Amino acid sequence: MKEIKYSKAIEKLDEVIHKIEQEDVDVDELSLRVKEAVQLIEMCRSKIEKADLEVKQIVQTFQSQDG
Amino acid sequence: MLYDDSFLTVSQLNDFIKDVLQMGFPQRVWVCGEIQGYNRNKDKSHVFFELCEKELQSNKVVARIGLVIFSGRKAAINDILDHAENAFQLKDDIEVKFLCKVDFYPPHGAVRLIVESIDPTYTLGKIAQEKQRLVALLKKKGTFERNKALPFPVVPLGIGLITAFDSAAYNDFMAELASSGYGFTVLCRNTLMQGKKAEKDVCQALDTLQNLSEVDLIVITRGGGSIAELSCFDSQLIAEKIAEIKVPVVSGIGHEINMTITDMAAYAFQKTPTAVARYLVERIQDFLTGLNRRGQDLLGKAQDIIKEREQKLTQSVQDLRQGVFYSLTCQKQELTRFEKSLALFPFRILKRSAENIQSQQKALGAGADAFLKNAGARLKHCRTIVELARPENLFRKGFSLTRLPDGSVLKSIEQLQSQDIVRTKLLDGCFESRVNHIYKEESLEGDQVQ
Repeated sequence: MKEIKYSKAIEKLDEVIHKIEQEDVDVDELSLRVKEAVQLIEMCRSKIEKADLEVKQIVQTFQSQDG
Repeated sequence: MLYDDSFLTVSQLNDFIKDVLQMGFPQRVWVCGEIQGYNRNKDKSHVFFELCEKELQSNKVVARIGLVIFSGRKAAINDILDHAENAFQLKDDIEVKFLCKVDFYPPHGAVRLIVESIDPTYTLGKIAQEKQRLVALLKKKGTFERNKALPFPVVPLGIGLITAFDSAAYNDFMAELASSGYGFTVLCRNTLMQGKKAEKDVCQALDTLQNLSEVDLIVITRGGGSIAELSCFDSQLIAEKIAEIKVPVVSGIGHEINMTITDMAAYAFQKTPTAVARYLVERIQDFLTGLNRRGQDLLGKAQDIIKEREQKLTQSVQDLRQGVFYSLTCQKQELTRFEKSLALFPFRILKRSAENIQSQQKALGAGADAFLKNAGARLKHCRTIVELARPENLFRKGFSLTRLPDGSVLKSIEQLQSQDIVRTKLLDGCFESRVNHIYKEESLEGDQVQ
């Protein structure tokens, strides 16, 4: 899947999930949509984890300088 | 005295005048007036000079008289002056009160006053009186306040000096400045500091120095002296010049109890040249101390600010951390919610679709049954109708089929002619018959059609 910005990914995800929740998805497309949503979730989760790790490292660097 | 002789010799006249005068002034008299012509004769053994009286407004001499201080009286008079509370010396232009003997000097034919004593308090009083008048006038005009209203230079290092060059005052002043070690620049205008001409010279010096860019302030100083000596600094001209110029003036003339009008007009005054120099040095020291204190204040404030900013920064880092983690947690929760939705809703869709299909199927089954049932019934009905319509069944019930000789089926009496031979078929055989009568209606008994 093409790398996209988190905000775009979450927007897209929100849209897909909303459609699925509203049962507004054609059965033919359902598995495709679910697959897409799962991929987006994975992408977002890895982005969050990466950001989390980076922030922790940055703050740690900052605090060790400060101390 | 003989008037009969009709004339007198000059000496006789003069002696006579002398006698008359002596009779008229048997005692010494106190005479007040302004000294003139004293300075140029003061070093002679007998000092001849004049006293004069001036008109108050015009300053014009209205009366004058010659005086002499004989060498024998000089010491006594100087002694009186020296012991006066504010010593002064005889000189031109001062008001004095002499105790005199009115004398006539026959060889010159002139009236003269022989000075025997002096009242110094009169002179001092006159000077004080004049000074008071001037002070009151200048105060009223605001002359004393104008130089004081100027901004004092923050670092008064460029000094315009008005004093007699190389005098004791000059040397004291310069020595004190030099001992401070600060980089003063002194531009000295050699100036008359006593006598009649001092007033104008000081004014010119003020004008000259105030126009020099190096000059931050002007100092007027001289060593102490008698009130009479310093009286040239009780000057309206100098005071007004000081009020007029744009540079602060610091004066050091005489001593504090004898503050001159120049001192009053100046921005500040000190007792002596040394004191003036010290005053300036102190201004520089004040500046440096102030600078130092302000530097420390600045440093303190800067440190406070840095500390405050550091605390804010630390707080910001904590806020950032919490904010970031909170935000990331929220995002994670949202993803989890999405995951839950994904785990649930697609199956719900599939289930719903399956259910739909099932219900469609059911509906379809029920519909087909009904249709078939209906179709069967209709078919049976049709079959019955068809069965009923079969010729055999009709023949069996008694119906028959009659044909004309040309073979066509007889359906109407209109087709018949009397005597026609028709052939009628029944279930089990057929017969031929001849038409006798034709009737319009079914009436086998009668109603013959003709």
